[in-house]
Amino acid sequence: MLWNAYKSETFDELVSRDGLPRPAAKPISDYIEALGADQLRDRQRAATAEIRAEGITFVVSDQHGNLDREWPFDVIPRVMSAGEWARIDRGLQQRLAGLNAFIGDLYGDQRVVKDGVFPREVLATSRFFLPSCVDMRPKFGVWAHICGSDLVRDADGVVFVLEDNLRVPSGVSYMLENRSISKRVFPELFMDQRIEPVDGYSSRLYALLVSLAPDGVLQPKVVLLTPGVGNSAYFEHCYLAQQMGVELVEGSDLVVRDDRVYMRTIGGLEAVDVIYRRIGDDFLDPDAFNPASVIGCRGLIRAWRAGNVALVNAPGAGVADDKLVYSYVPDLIRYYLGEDAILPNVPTFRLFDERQRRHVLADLRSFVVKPANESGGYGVVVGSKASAAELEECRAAVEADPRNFIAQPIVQLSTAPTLCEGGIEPRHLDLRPFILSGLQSYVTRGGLTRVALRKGSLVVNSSQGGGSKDTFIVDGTGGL
Amino acid sequence: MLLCGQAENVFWLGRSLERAEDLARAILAYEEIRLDLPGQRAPGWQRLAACAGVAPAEAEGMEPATFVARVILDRHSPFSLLGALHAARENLRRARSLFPAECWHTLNPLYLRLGGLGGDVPPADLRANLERVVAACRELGGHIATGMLRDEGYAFFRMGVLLERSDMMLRVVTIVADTLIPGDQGMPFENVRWIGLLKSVGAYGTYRHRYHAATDFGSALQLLLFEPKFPRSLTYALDEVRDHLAVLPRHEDPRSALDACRPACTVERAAFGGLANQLLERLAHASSVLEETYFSVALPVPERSSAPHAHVKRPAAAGEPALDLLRG
Repeated sequence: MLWNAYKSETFDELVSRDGLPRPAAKPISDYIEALGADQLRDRQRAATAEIRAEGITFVVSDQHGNLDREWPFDVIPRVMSAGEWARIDRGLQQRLAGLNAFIGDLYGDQRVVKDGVFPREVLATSRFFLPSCVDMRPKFGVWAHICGSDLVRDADGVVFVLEDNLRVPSGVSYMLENRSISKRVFPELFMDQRIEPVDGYSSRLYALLVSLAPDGVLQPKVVLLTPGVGNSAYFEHCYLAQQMGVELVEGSDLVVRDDRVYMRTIGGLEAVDVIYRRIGDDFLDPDAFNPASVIGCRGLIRAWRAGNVALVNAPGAGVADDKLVYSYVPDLIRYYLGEDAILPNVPTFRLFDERQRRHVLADLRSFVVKPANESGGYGVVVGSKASAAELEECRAAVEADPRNFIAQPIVQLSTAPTLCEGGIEPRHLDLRPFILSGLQSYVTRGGLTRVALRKGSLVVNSSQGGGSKDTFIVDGTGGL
Repeated sequence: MLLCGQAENVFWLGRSLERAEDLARAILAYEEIRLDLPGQRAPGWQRLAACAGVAPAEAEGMEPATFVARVILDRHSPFSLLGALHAARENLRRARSLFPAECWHTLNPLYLRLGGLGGDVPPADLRANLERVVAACRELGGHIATGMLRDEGYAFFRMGVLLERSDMMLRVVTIVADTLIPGDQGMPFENVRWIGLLKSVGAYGTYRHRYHAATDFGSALQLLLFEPKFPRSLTYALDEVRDHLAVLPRHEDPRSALDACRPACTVERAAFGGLANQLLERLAHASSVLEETYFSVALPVPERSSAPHAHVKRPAAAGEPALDLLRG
């Protein structure tokens, strides 16, 4: 029996504590059981070959330069019930409504500061608050049109939001590719089960982008702006541009004249109305931000401010993608929407607060310390796994710049069965669903499940040796 | 209209794919000639290396193993076969949406397969892989011929293919013509070389069909340079590029540069080397005029039918601090 030896130390997504499959996962567990270990390995090999042939890669940088690595994928899916997902879906829509109201308020009247809900000092020291966005009112009041929020589940099975990626979140193409591979390697499973499809994303994204065009433009020209081939998500940029049938452009393809954005075509300049930009704010426009940027386009921000082009996500949306701001999100939801947050935050200590800082520094081993404004898992220190020297370094960094760090208790991330060298073993994972916000909002069915492939590791970032799984939202059989 | 950057990608995709195919053909045919020519008469690899673009000093006395490493399997070299496939793959990655989906599924595994070969690959395996390159490139050509929209992207792709094909053909003809020792004229070995040449540019079957048994300089050149119905001839290439240019804007300069590439109707054997070099230079010039015209231009702003939109901006409310909004 494949599952007999399987035992997780914490909450497992597929197998309950008594060793039986969870109801939603039962048919899939049975299927894998029937398949047997050898067959399962064959399917894993087929999946890996498929990824290679398809060229599904991401770029990692190391001391030797950029490497185009194949996307790591584990064939055993992570399964959630449609009932549970419906709640998460509502929770994420609520969260984004709150966050977008917050961003608009910060660049507008700043009621939230005047009312004492959000401290002025935190705003004043925010790295991603952009004065050049003040007084802008993007369509539908939405700034963060595309968000990837990371969800984790603790030992008791409670789902928390760990962070909101509102700048240039990536990963959705891998969610779509994971599904396409699953369908090829487990066709039987899809015939027998009601697994919710995920592939409506690209057309929803395109519809969103079109809806954001300046008023009066009937057939807007939409482009995807990429930093270029060296970017870690370049595969995704190509993939999404292709799926939506829009041009993939680099900064050098664009030019701004009289506050209008054009792209250089062989027939002359052609106006651009909507830019899905996958370049961070800093590098978007050397005239407005980092003057050394060579990947952006001069004058873009002026054109945006003049209302002649939509930038997606809007510049400045990153102000809410700050782990210190994150700690206020439940309060912000209550403040703007008058509702309690459906999805809780992981308890978060604000280290600029002296009492909280002392509490954390007294027992660093029990916390994860994170820089407020990094992504990709860079700079995160997991207290229980860090060496004494690393802890000291962390302590010094926090004391030098407490505003720039937060601490959270170590969440024992849930696990799912994963095909490893020695057989099927539990590995920790998280989940990144994607939320589209415009006139209406939409949450992907499931998301990108990222899995820490090393035993016991809690770091799931693909740039740090993480892998991925397909995420099945299955209809039918009840909750957990 | 097609982005300048995308036109450039597509043009170089065409050139790189054609280059990979032509190099593979040339190497295969060259190997065959070598096997047919005894001892000293066998041409060394240096000529083919020079034809691929290796500097003469390095090409001189090149060993077979070095040839495989430098001219076939060097991923980072702009003139090697794998380098050409690498460039083609990068270009296709960005221009994937313009091409039928099968193209990627043909090119990517081919690239990975060739990239996985070591320098110590046995000759028979190398041969099989080169044949695979030719077959895969033909397969790609088939996907494109039957599945691609006849738009500007197609025009630039085809122009890349045709200019590269003409360039490679002239280079291969030149090296074969050079290796003909004057005393060999009319000897069996000359025949071997001409057959090899025709094979290496994919023209042997057509030649047999058209001119029957004997192979000679005059009729081979007639086919390769002047036959308007043969899709691998220079004249055919120039005609087709001309047709593509006709539907593109601002085509006057590239068209005159292209027209200068047409050779006179007859070619003297003795004058061939000079003519080939002249044609190569003119082709290179035509290509650079094309690149300057379409890939890197300063363009005027078009007239807009609708007024600029200013609905989003909100005037600053009284009492709010005046910010220098544009400085960030």
